[in-house]
Amino acid sequence: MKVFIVKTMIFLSILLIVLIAMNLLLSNYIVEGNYFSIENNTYYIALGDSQIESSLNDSLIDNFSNFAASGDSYLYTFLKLKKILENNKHIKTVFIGFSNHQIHKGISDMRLWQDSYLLWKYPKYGVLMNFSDKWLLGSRNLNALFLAQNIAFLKNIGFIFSKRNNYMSYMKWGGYHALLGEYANDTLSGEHANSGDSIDETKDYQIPIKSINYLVKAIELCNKFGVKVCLIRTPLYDNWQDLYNNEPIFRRILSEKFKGVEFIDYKNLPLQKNEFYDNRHLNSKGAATFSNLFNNYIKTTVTNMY
Amino acid sequence: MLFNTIDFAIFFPIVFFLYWFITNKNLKLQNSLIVLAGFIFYGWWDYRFLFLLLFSSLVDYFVGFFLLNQKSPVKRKILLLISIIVNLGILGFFKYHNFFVENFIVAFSLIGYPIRGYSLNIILPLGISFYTFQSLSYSIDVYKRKFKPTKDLIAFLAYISFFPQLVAGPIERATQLLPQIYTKRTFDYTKAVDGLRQILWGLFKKVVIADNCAFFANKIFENSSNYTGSTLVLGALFFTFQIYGDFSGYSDMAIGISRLFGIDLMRNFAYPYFSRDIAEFWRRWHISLNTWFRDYLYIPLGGSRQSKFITVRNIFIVFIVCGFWHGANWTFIIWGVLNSIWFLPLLLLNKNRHHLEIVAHGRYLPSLRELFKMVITFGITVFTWIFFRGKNLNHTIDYIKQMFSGIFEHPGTVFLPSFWEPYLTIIILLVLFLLIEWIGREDQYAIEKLGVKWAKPIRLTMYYIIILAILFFPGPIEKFIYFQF
Repeated sequence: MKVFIVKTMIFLSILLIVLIAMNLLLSNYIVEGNYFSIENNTYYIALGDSQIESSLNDSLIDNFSNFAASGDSYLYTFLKLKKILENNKHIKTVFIGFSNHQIHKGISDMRLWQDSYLLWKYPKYGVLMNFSDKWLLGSRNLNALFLAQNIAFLKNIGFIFSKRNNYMSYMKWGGYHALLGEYANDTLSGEHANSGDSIDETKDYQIPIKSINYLVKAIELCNKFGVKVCLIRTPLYDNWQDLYNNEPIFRRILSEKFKGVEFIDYKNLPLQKNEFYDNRHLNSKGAATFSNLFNNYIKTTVTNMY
Repeated sequence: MLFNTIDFAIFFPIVFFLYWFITNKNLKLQNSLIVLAGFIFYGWWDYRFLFLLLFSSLVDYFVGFFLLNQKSPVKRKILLLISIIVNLGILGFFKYHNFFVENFIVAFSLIGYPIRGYSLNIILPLGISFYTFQSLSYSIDVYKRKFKPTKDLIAFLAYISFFPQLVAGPIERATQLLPQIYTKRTFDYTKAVDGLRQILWGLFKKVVIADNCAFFANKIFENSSNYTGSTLVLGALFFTFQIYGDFSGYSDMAIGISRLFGIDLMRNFAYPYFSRDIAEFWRRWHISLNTWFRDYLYIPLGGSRQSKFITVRNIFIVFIVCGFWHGANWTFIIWGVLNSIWFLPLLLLNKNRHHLEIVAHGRYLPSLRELFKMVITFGITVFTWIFFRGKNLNHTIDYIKQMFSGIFEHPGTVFLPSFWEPYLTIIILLVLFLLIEWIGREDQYAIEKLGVKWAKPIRLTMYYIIILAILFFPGPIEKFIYFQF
């Protein structure tokens, strides 16, 4: 029995040590390497989730790069931002998406801990995480985190062998994604339609505190780097207020957590119905209109600050 | 909890340690640990259904207890009936209530008497089809005086709730498992190492083969109207390997884990996809369930010892019940009917026991004739699995129609769906898997003897490679298919 246990432990320990060592070496190699550069003439970047991803077309906005990715939690937004700012001192302004669905606890929790999200996002950003970030994910879904770590390891090896010089593009950290179609709905249906998820603004437990704290950290990071940061709410279709029924609490969080941070609210931008992909996202036509408008905003308002 | 999760990785060493280091001096204590571990294992899914497991077990324990000294044939029959009614009643309620309600409503509507019925929002208790059958087999064996009932409640509960096989089999017999529960277990190094090897292979089958095939099978089946015939054929093929990898992988893990506790479970799969006819397939697929139906349904009905008509009737009954056991859906019943149709000609022509040894026994390769038979049998099996996987009868029929019409439109061409990019990896893994299964087909499981004569470093490297494949080529996390039964 003792021989069996000792031999099994040795067998497993060798494997564990080799895997952990390889993981650490690989992560370190990538993180310390020069794989996170953006073009020097990029002064403005945007981060967030699918709403930003689908609405800001980089090709129509000068000196701008969109790093938003569908389904990104603020944890991943923060990690990406940190790496980008550390490696690109020429960035002047950061725009981060902030909309009603991002203070919905169900959505935030899903983006952090659901199997499919963990397996999707962790391999992209895992190298950037410290122990407490991993603990946050593992505390609610250790099984998926374990699996995701293995996927991340393979992808990182793939990156090394690919001899590409940009980790962000290899891992598809984000970028403008054109949505084609016109499915905005005058009568809401599906998951977002008055699902009984109305938030009681006096009850904090319904707010995704952990996720919002990462947004707070992102803003503090920008301040540390001397970079201006703005929160931005992209256009929503006409009946947006029915979606989450949480505008009062949204405003409360803005005033309490993000006092002093510029909030650019485009929710009521008068776009046509055929410029929306669905009630929360712009299609390519809407993105073109919005991007041109945003480009003017940057030229007239943001640029004049420097 | 699933075997391939962190929860189990923590649970198992604790139980293992307590079993061999703390409770090993006292058999009753050790058996109590088996019961406790089984209840924790089961309750991890949903603690409320522990009461159902306990209730079913207690009913059969007391039925056995009273049968011991009961001489009256009438009273013995009543006791047996109690066991049957309770076990099948529980199964019937949780698994089939809504099916019968819905079908009664349809049937009455068809004859012009529409009725109202209400479906209940019933959770299907994990493993209910397995432990009720295992418990029932005890009562039946005691009734038939094949087995002396146990007075030891702890031993009986350990027999029912032994966690490696509690939720997805193998469905054990009291005659096989209970004597092992009564006997003091001593640690056997060779058995334990063999158990570890079997667990490894089971994990590979489940995580690498089954879960990866599931990704493709699910995509194709769930969007079947968007794909061409050849893609639908691939979908059926992927499901064929998914269900084999999933279920036989679980059985391998269950058997391997049991061996670490010094307990031998019955073999559940014997390379069914290398079968040369359907009769051989059914001797090699889900052996514990099929032998259960043979011993407790087919033979009591008369088996094949009576007239041809009775034999045919019995075969249909057994396969239909077997299909129905798998799920409350007409697709499972049709699946059972189809299998009886394939099986019957062999039985009636007395050709159902032609291939008792594994194909190409003692040889490297099969003969052309054997290969031809294997391909035909495999093809029939793949086709029949479509009914097993289909969402409902309409979906299954549409799937098959589209599959055949698509093939004839584009014969010999394979149109692959857009998500197909990672297919090369899984194809290579499948080929390697089949090769290893073929090489090891004469053993209990494919890698039982693979590499045992190699130098230690090479052998250990092989195990490390399998582990790395499990770690780095897993499919998306999937529950074990048979958990839904």
